[in-house]
Amino acid sequence: MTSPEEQEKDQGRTKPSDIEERAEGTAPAGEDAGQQAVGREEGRSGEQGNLDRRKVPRIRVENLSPRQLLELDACTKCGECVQWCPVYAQDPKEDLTPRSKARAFRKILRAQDGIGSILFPPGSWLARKLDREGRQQERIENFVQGLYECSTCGQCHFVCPSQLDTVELWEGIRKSMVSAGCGPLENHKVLTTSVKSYDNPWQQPRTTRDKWARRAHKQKQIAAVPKSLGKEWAEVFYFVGCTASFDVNIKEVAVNTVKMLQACGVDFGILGNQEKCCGSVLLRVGDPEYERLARENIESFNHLGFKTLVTSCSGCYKTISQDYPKVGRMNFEVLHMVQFIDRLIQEGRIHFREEVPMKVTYHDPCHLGRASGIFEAPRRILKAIPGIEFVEIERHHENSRCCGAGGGLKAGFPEVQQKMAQARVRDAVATGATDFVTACPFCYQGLSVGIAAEGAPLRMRDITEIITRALGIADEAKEKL
Amino acid sequence: MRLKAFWICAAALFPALAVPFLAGRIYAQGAVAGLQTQTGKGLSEPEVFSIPGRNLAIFGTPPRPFHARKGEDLVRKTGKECRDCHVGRFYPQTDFFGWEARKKWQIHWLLFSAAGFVSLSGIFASVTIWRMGRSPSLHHAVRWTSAARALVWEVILGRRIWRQSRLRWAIFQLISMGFVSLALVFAAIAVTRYVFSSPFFLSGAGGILLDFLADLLGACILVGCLLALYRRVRRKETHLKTEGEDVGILLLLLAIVLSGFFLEACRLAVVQAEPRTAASFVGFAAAQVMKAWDLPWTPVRFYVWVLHAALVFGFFAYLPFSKLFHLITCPFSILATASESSYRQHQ
Repeated sequence: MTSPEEQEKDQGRTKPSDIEERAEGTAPAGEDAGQQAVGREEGRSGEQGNLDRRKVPRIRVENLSPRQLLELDACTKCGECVQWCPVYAQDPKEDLTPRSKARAFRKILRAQDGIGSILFPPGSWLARKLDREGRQQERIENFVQGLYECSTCGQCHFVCPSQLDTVELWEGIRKSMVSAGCGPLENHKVLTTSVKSYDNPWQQPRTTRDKWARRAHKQKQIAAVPKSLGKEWAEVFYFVGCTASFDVNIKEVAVNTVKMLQACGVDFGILGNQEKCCGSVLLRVGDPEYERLARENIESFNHLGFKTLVTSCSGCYKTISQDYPKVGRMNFEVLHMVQFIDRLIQEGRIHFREEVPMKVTYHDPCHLGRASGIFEAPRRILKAIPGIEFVEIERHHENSRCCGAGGGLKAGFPEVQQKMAQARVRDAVATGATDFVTACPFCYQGLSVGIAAEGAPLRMRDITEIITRALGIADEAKEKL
Repeated sequence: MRLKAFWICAAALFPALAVPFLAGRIYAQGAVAGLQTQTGKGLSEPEVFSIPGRNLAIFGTPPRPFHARKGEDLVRKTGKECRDCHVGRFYPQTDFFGWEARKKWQIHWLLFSAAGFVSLSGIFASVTIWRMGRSPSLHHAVRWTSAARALVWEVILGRRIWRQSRLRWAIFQLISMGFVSLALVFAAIAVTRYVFSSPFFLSGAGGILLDFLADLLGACILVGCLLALYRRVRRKETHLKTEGEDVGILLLLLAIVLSGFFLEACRLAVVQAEPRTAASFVGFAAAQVMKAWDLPWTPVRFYVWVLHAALVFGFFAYLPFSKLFHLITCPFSILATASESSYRQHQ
């Protein structure tokens, strides 16, 4: 396998680098190349004093909407977001708070395009005396750190009295920063490069994407390898997602989902090796390549002709159902697995026969709950399973405490994510539950780390695992656990 | 782009500066005509009074620029004060030969123009930045019912703040809604007076209503500011980050409200008490206290008027550059979010 640096070289892509390197004239990639060229052009006039100025990148905000830019002025600095921010609770730095980020970005834009830039034109004697460019550079550097130390969980949106659409705002600003050469963080670059090269963030070859299905069939975990949608038509497309496809600890989610669908007699198929990452990773860290990937996926899905896309990953679900429609039209319905199962229960097509004696509590994944408004379907499923005693965890529904696995936080700041996961695990332990359930492989992964670090007397479960047990189709070995 | 904006602003400056002088002159002419109608005398007539020096020689201000020499002789001869003869409803005791009216409105228009210029420049700069965004602001068609519901529940009633903290909700309602209501009251006055030429708010029941509302809403803002200061300075809530701007804005609002009350009290301290004067309940109460001091409240009022106008226009000039700008931007954000998120809820 080639290293990410070599891959970049081969593909003629820019080596993701820090602000200075980019400003020195490294060729940027993709459709933003033109924008950056313009940005550099404006900062270059051949004067000696302009050498320093070229280091200050010009932040382009064309990818943001007027509403998002207006929202920067709508922050009242009330601090409600600070009180609720799960990242700030573990790493109390003002720079990462939403109020601080909104203010800092407003300052950056005002210094760049506001009245100050007219009164003190860049490169002028006064601007140099006041060190406006130096301060702008420092402002941008601090801002980028705070911008990426965020799981984009959306809690701030739900408590903000001005109702700023923070998640979209941060993602849009991240994109601006990446286009200006100020982002993403080094750790993110491994993920984005992998997605661009292998269509998954796990740096795994495409050919191994459906290995889990073949292996599960070989081990008789599933009755048959699901239909390949490229070759056969099916009513339902199960979008497995990268985490469930490649993470050996998470592949059970995919296996259980297939078992469920087969047990319910659903006509479904998968894309196998043809499936690509939904692009969530790129979108969250602000990589402009996301749109290309999303467009390709939409085109491909539309051609397959299925009626419903089902996924068991909350991140994929949010991306496909909420973010894809902003890129292109889709001719199918998008459902999360919990919605699909909930619908089957309502239609009487699924009956939970087996008793599952557990005291469970449920963690609302940010992408499924706050971002997509799906709170009740997983609760209805759990409550419908015989033997389950359901207890509500502290901070649930819109106020669910993020486990920190999303938004690029886990890759950029793993120690902060671990503290966040541990905090969430402590919430779960306080309920007295024996099993901690979620409906997102990424949360599952993040919280499992938290349970191990905390040494908590809890077992992490994906909701699909509990459903298969209730249907009486779970692995015997698993059932004993 | 930036250069273009600069020249537009610069070109706008000149007409803006011409406004106070033109407006002042126009208003002063009207005031002089009014004075002539009221007294039946022209300004050139010798028996028109001037201001005795001591009345204006407060705070070390030299009296010279504020009186006409020709009236002094008459004052000495008759032994009367100007206010003995010049009693007016809106400019109690005198209008200083039209000087007060003329100067006041010249100052008013000057401050208005300067504040307007600064404020519009700030808004223009912000709008320029907003317009740099090219993505669509809304991804769905506007859901008017959701937006209307959000307008009532979130923008006006502040439901989300109510759920978070009763104290913050009280501060929000007292300051924001007090401020907005006061602005609406003054807008109503301006419209009835200058558009419909109706004296409704200047006399009769409308006058009483105006006096009462101005004091009530001013008192709301005053209490709100004091509660906000208490929350920031005394209670020191951990998530609050109090900076100079936060305290400065509250002090500015307090100064506006207090100078407004003092202004009204100066008027009520010298006019004859009548039932309707009690409608300005805060100013009336303050006036009863102020009457105990034998001070020339009329000229004091002039200076307080100028101070109040300066503070108010300073506030408007500062608004687009401060966090107070959320007064304008917040409703847009809330309504847009309500419309967009309703699609998610209806999924």
